[in-house]
Amino acid sequence: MYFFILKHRLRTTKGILKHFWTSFIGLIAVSGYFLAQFYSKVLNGGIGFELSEKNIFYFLIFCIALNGFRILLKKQPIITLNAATVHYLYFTEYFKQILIFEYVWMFIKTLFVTFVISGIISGFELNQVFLRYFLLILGYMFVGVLLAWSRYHVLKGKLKLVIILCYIVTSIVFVAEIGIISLVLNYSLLLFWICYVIFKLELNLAKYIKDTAFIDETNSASSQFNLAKMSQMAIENVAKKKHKFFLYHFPLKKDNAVFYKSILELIRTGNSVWGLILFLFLMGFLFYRTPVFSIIPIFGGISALATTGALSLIMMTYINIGEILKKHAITLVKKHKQGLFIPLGRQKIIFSYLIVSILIFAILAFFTGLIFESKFFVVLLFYIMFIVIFALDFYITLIESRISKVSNKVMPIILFMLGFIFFI
Amino acid sequence: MFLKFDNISFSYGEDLAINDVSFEMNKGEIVGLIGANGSGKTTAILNIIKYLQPRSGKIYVKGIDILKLKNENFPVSYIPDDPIFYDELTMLEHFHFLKALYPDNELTIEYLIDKLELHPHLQKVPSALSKGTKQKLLIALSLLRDYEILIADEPFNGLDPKQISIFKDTLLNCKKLGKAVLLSTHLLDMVDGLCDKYILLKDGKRIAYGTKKEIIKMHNLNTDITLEQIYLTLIERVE
Repeated sequence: MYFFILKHRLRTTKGILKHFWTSFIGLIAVSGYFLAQFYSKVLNGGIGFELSEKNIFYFLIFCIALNGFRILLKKQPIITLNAATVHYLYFTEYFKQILIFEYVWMFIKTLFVTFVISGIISGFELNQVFLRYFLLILGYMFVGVLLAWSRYHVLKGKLKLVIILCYIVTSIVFVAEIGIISLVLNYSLLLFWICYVIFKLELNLAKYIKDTAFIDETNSASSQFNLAKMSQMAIENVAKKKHKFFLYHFPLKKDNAVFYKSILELIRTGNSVWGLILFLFLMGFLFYRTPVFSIIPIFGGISALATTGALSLIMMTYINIGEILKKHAITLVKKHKQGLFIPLGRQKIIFSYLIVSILIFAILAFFTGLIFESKFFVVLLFYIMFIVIFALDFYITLIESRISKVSNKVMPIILFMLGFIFFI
Repeated sequence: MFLKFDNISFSYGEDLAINDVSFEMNKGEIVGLIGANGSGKTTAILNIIKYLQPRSGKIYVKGIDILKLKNENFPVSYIPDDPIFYDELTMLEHFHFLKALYPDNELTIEYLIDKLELHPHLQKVPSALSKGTKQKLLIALSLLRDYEILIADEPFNGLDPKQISIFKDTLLNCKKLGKAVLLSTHLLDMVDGLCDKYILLKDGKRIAYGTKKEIIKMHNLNTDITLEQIYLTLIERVE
């Protein structure tokens, strides 16, 4: 039985890797490079170079933040089993053993992370410093895992308070005293929580099955490269998030309802999308204004190539935001056509979305001007040209003109080039 | 005559889905569009809402070709068979969005929420709703629009008996207000007696049209026969 559970997990992982290996390699390469740069240039670390106390402190703060996220914020369980496994085996003798395997697997993963962090701190030398931090961080991080796991299943009551108190106390001692007190405290708590999760913890079964079923579905869609399902799940997942701001908080009228709806759609676009867009813009800034990429011979500093790289990333941000707005407008028109009628012509819908575009691109143009230290009238001219061409593209797409297929390919290229005309 | 479906034919590629079908609807009339799955009911409706365009024939509303009617004054409200919503909006946001777009409709959001018992679901997005609640939301949204023709495609799907009764009352109220209602269904006992006229379809062809009495008379059937029996008898005769 254990073999089948492992086989299922391996098969899913294999499917995901098969379809996304290029993305994974790209991500590992980029983040690896970025972290290596950060380690050597900002932290002045390296093999044989122990970090300064100040920089070690930052690493400890990172560990505290990670534990804090896991214990206080993370909504999904830190240990995930297949939903079917939980459903069918929960009331059997096997379930406890499976969970213990999972705890051990989680411990091995924590061991690996701790090894890397301690290595970074000690300059990857197996000395006393390494051993001290290794033991300390391992204890603290694994207590964090068990606290997060318990916190996930315990929704309220005194135990929740105890878990939060444990986190606060261990975190304070963790940064305040790198020695025996911290070690004794963490390992005593570790022993207590190991006993607790093995012998006492009752799983919040309904919540756990619901969450793991969602994770399974996502993994299964990824491993089969079912893009339609992945996209639908992403939309539904974003939509299901609890909101604090609602459409009816705006002063809705017939003339502005679509405008406010489009604003709300943008606000509710998934964090990952905004994260990616912010990342592109930030990378553009780093390329042009900082020496972070200077060890790559062709980039870094205010050279023509650095400008090219920076502009490419920034213009990609513009294009992506434009595409998001277009997609929202197309969806509205498509749903109208399917029967979710609204009493507005296409011109009115296009106009509403264009106002939103004008506002957003004004903000982007302002920051682009700041990054490239451009003159006001250059930025203004770029902005006006961009809006005019974008509006034309938007219009052609929305009226489903015969040339819209060509326009969808050509217009983004023209918009992309516009940045190079004005900022180089 | 308010809506005229005039000799409409439509095909999906080579497959003829509607073959020269005609019918008319007047104000204050409930018309039942009856047929088995795949008989052409939804295709006929999709032609009326302009999602599809007929291969031949024309559809008129108050004598105007519907293809010439603009979105701003398209007098149709539609309850689709396949639910369509704005994925990112909650139920209450859907209501407020449509209410803002149709401010002249006298129905209030609160009235619809109460009538259809939607209180527990107001902050949920459509994907988090059950099938029946989605259907109730579709009904509520269709009633919030300004319309003169209400088209409902399989509207009883997922509704419980109480909600079915409420929905039937709503349709009768529409009729009282002088609206035309086109009701498509294959659940014949649901609409027996409710509709003023019936259009019976089979494989895209109209096999009967008129009031129940007219159909019975035209096809020499027993007078105390149910709609289901009429349909099954006529189907058998055609086959």
